[in-house]
Amino acid sequence: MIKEKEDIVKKIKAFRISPWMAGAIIGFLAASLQKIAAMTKPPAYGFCMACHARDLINSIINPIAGTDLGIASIVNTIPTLTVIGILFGAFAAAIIFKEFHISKVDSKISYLKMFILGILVMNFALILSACPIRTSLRVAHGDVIAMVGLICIGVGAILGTIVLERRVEV
Amino acid sequence: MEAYIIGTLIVGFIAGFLGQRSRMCFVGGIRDLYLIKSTYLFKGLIGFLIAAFVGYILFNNNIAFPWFIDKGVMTAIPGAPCTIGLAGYIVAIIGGLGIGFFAVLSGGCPFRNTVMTAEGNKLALLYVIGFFIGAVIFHLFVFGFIQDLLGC
Repeated sequence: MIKEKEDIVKKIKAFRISPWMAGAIIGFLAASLQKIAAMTKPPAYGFCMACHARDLINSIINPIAGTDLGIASIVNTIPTLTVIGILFGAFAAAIIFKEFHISKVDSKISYLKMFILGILVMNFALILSACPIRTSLRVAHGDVIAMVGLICIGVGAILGTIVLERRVEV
Repeated sequence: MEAYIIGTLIVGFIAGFLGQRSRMCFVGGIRDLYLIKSTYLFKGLIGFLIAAFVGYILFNNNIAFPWFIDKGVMTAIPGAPCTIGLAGYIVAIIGGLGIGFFAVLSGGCPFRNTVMTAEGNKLALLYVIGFFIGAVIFHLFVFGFIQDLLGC
C-alpha cells in the first residue's frame, strides 16, 4: 500500500508533457481565445510574446512619459498580460516540481550578450510583427506573408546553428 | 475587453505551465531537427499549427474558404510597418531571418527564454529585460527607419 503511494508520488513528480501535446493545447487555446473573449479585431492575436510584451510596456510608458508609442488598438487602456501569465505559470510549475534553482553565472560579458540579443530579437520580431509563436498562429489563420516569415525563421535558425557549430569547432 | 485581458492572463498561465513541463521551443525545434536530426521539439510546432488551424475552423474568426489571405492579417494593427504587398514580403523576409538567427544564438525562442526566467535563469532574465527595452527602442527609432526605407 505504501509502495503504491510512493509510486503515485513518483509519477506525479515525473509528470512530463510532450511538446506535441503542449503545442496542440496552446495552439487551440490561442485560436479560440479571441472568439470566446469577443475580440476579433486584430486577427490572430490570441498569443504573442513580442506584440503582447510591446503592448504591456508601451501602455505603461505612454501615460508616464506622455509619448505615443504604438500599441494595438484593442488595448488602449489596459495591457495584455500574456507575458506575466507565462512567468507565473512557469514559476508555479518550477516550484511544484522542484526545478527552481537560481543559476550562477560569473562572466558579465554573457549578461551583456543576452541583453543585446533580447533587444535584437524583439526588434526583428516587431519588424515581422510576430514572434515565432504568432507567426505560426498567422500561418494557421491563412496568412501567406506569415508563411514566408515562418520559412525565413527556419532558414535563419539553420544559419545561426551553422555559425554556432563553426564557433565550437574553432 | 476585460474578458480578453483576463483571458490572456489565463492562457499565458497555462502556456507557461505546459512550456515548463515540456520544454517546448519552436526555434529550438528547427535547430534540433537540423543539428541532431531529432524531431522531438519540432513536433511542438506541427502540433501547434494543426491545433490552431482546427481552432480557427471551429471558432470561425472571419475565415472564409479559400482561407488564403495575401493582404496580410496585420493591417489592423498600428505598430506594424508595411504589411501589404511587396513591402510586406520584404519585411517578412528581413524579420524572419533576423528572428531565426538571433533566437538560435540566444538559445531558444522568446517563449522558452521567458519560461527559463521563471525557472531562475539569470541570463534569461537579462534577455527578457532586453526584450522589453527593445520594444521601446523599436518604436522610437527602428519603426520610422523601416517605413522610410521601404517607402510605406
